[in-house]
Amino acid sequence: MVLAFVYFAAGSDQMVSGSGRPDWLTLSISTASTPDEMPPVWFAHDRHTDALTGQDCTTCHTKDEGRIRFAFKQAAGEDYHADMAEFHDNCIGCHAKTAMQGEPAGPRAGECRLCHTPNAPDRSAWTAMRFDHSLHARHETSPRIGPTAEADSANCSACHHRYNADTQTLYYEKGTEGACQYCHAPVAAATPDDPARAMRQAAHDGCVSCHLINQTQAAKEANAKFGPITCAGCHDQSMQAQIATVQPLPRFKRNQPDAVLLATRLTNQLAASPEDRAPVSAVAFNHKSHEANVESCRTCHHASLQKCSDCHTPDGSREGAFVGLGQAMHVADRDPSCIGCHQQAQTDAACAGCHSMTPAPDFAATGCQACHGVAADEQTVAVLTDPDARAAMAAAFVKRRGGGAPLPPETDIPEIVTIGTLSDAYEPVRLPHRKIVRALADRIAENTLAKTFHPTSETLCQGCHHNAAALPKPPACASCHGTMTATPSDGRPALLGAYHLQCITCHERMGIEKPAATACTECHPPRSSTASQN
Amino acid sequence: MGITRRRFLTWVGAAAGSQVVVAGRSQAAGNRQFPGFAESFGVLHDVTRCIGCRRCEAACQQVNGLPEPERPFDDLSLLQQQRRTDAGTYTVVNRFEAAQGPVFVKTQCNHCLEPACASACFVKAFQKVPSGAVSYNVDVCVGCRYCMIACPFNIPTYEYDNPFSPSVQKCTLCQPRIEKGLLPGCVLACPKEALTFGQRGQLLQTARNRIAQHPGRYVHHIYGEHEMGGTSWLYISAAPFREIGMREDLGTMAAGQLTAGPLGAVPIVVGLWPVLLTGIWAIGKRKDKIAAGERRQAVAEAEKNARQAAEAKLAGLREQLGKEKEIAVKLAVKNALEEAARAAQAEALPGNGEPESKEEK
Ligand code: SF4
Ligand code: SF4
Repeated sequence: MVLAFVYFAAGSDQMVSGSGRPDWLTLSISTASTPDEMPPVWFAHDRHTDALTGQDCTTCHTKDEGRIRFAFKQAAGEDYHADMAEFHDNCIGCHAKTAMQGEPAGPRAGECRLCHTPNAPDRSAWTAMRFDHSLHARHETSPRIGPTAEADSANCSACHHRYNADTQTLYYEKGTEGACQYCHAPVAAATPDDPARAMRQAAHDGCVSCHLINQTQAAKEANAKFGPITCAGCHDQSMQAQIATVQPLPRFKRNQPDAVLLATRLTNQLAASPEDRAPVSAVAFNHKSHEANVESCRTCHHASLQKCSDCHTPDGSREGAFVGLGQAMHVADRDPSCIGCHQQAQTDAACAGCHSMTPAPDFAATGCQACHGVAADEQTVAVLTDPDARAAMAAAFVKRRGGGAPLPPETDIPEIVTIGTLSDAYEPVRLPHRKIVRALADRIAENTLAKTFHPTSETLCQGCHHNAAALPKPPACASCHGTMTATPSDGRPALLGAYHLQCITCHERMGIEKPAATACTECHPPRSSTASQN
Repeated sequence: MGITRRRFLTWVGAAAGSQVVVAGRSQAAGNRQFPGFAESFGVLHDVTRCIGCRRCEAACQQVNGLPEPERPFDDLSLLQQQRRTDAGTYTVVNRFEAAQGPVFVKTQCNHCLEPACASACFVKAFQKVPSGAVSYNVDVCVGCRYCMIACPFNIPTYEYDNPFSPSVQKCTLCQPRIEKGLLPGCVLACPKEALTFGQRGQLLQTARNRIAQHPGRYVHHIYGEHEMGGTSWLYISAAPFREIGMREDLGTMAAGQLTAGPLGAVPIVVGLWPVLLTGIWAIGKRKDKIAAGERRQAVAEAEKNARQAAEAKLAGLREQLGKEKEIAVKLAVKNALEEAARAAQAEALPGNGEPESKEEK
């Protein structure tokens, strides 16, 4: 069967907003048996809707139960040559008619290459639309949307649905809502095996149709709002930036827990040998705070809203692409893993000063204990089978966490530390030690994640006093960092390098521009004449 | 088409190289890869650490007794322009704008494991010595400057300003300091430890560790591990090397291997090598400038060095040459090269990289 379809110029990462059009589509009717004879047509959609002001979408699209179907209506998608003729007749026909009326019009017969060009005549500025937590909240509370199912008291059923394969109909089931992408794959078209439309098509059929209906409604009321209906409205970066964000974000209404006791391995282990409860401590996971700090559920629940361990079993399973539970949680260089995401958070300017220097993944400062804090003792084992008690236990642990580092008394923090290593050439450096400690403590206090992972003041000190035991008076830098020799060291910089690497790198990563890395005398005051005589 | 100058130079390199192998004294031009002297030293330049302070440049000037620069080393405005090494400057730091912001890269002789400069030098003024340095012997240098053309990194420079005893200039890896157990001047001066001195094998390990311990910080490549058959200076960087002025088109084959190819096609050149070399010498641009006395001195010095049999042979030839003979030699060289050109045209001639573009300038 020949399909007439419209697809978007994909590859959003190559596209730069502000320097092109966000509305380029390529039109192609090619199939495996009948490949296109000419390059696909680059079509600027918004330019056409602008030119056709006063006419509605049905000029080019069909309406189906009040909703627009976003394919070109004249091309039935059954015969290649018939579709080609329809496209040519309708496009060129309209251009010709417009030109006869003395209006500026698009290419006409004979100007084949003006439409059939291998590349867009202008740069594409298409930017993917991200339906984030805030946008979800706006839709959830919009009075204009309203539920479409009886079981629903909110707006959920307007978008969320399930599919009944027997009756081939969509229906709503409360409490089973999930992300669109769980069923709608990004670009693949519907097949008999997987009738879900591609995400691209589902989003336009769903979102844009609804916005259009609201537009009609809104036209009757003054100042009423409705969602974007042009390509640029969603896919232009500057337009996206204008979408108001909801603060504070409401929680998703899907009965998700506030805190979860993650104890899969412990449970499995006890099932195998009930007496063995030595090694694995459980994790009290703060679901609520994670929810507030990620873009959407999909950040962690990337394929479904099931429990992680349903697919990522301890030993790996086909459903979990053979990524075992341990890997799923700990692999440092993947986003959806706990460590990967926390590692990413450490690149924030507030954190990167200390953390860019520590090798990854860094468990040294906090140990496994920071997450795996629920010991596998009698009490824990007792609650494992009781969901309510489990949740209560997790909540209690979560509540105890995140107080942040209590700073030692002010007087125990040296105010100025004098470093005289280069005093043959300069006056000694006066390091404003207490000021630095305070600045770091302030940054930790602003961030829940940081507070959780810096439970003691030593974890703060270790940004500079790394590896040294947490002591009130840590050893001097020179105890470990000596002079540079030609014998390769264990990767430890010599003293000169250690100081400069620590100070300058930290300033760079934290975006502290002054003093500049090369402004030597701003830290090392020039040697005064009296000093040099001594 | 006749013989391009580049081809000519390639053969010159090949001819000189092959003879060196016969003499068994240089590591420059074998037909297999030279793994490097096991314990040789090198320097790892971690570009992510460099702040462009030019302390290394200042230290280099000081330890090598190089002339004071026109503008002082703390004048960082010089980083606005791209600079290269010159006769009074063995190392320069250049600034590049990469995606992650400004990046500073120090440039100097990379002390190749199998140096192109040595392959191109028919009097063997360059030698890879066991410490890791590629050393230069001014006493045998005839000033032909083929090394400058051969070096893929654009390093050796020439004292054009010195009319009496000009010589080729480049970083020495602070060979004299290394011998005394001291660190190279630049390494010692770098406040950020962006330069790490050590045995090349261990430096590779250090580089790998840094890349592994900081996922996402570095591109996964150690520049110099394999480039041009490997170099004693190694580099790691966050920005792709091509974006920070470093050639990524050099391949992994050493210069000696590149020039060994055409050699097979032109055996006659090998047979005629003393004649050929004399011919090169005769047509060298400096010929008119070299006074007879200087020539005799150079010859005398070469003869003194008993191990340098090849040079002695060459010098002897030079002395015997009368004017008529020289014309005859020129003719012989011309014929030999034309024949070689025809033979070599049939062969796919591996390029020697940079020289071609240089010539067109
Ligand atoms: S970088 Fe150039 S001058 Fe230095 S050893 Fe290599 S080829 Fe010779
Ligand atoms: S001394 Fe070190 S930091 Fe300064 S320019 Fe040289 S290599 Fe870079």
